[in-house]
Amino acid sequence: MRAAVLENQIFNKADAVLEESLNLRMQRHMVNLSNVTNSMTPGYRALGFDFEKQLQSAIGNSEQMMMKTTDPKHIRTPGISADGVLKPDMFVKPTESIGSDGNTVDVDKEMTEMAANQIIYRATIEVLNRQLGMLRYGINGGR
Amino acid sequence: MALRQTGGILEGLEISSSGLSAERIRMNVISSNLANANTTRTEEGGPYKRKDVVFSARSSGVSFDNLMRLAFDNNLKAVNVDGIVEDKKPAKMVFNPNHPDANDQGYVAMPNISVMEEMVNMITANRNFESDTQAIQATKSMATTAISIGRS
Repeated sequence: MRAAVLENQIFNKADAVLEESLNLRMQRHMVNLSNVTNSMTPGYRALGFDFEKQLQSAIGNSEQMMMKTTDPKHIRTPGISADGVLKPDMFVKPTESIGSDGNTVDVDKEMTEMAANQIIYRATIEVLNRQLGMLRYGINGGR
Repeated sequence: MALRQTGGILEGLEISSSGLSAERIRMNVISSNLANANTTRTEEGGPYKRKDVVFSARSSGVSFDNLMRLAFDNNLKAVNVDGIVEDKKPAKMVFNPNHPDANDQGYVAMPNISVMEEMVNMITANRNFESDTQAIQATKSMATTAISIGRS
């Protein structure tokens, strides 16, 4: 589906990047959420999510050969989910301090990360809306 | 983006709500401890024993797909209340010969509860509840902005 977007004259690569970045921001939000929820669970290790790296590999490998899959249950090219989007690559956050119960969640940090992520998510949607607004302006002949 | 798949909005809400209910159960246990801080008689006999909740992380959703994924990589985790356990600390012995439950030496077995400790736990539970509700707010606001895409 993304390839079709890239060849399109109206919706270009910039739009594909915006779409991908929205998806990744939402995934990142979920990772923060999971950490906050488990801030009291003994032995829980905080998960991390490198947004920039994920976005880079999601938009950088459009020419790369990958197996075409039409169903979520098909065998995938490693790191690529069925619809050709990079699957969320989460990792256990390296931490210097571990609480006495083995929990490594820093709630303050997670909350600020979540807030920042949310703002950029909304900003991305704003950009998308402006672009669509310009399109609409063109379609209506400047009216 | 599907709503229920990993990273979907509904999964996020499910995770946060598991945190909310877990903290609520913890709150109830703390209330029970505080209310019974001076209870010397129980159905099982002896003074009231302090209760504690045990949390564990569980992968959100129980579908086959989720379990498959869990076997291969890290996954988002909801919080699960494994159970309520009794604190093994011995009862506090207080010298009070006039108490009806005092033993031959004049000591009464009081519950092994420290009110200060319970209050501190209550504040942490409260804070966690707040951060969970804030996370839900964030998820909701992201979802509603996404709905507005293309509207002007």
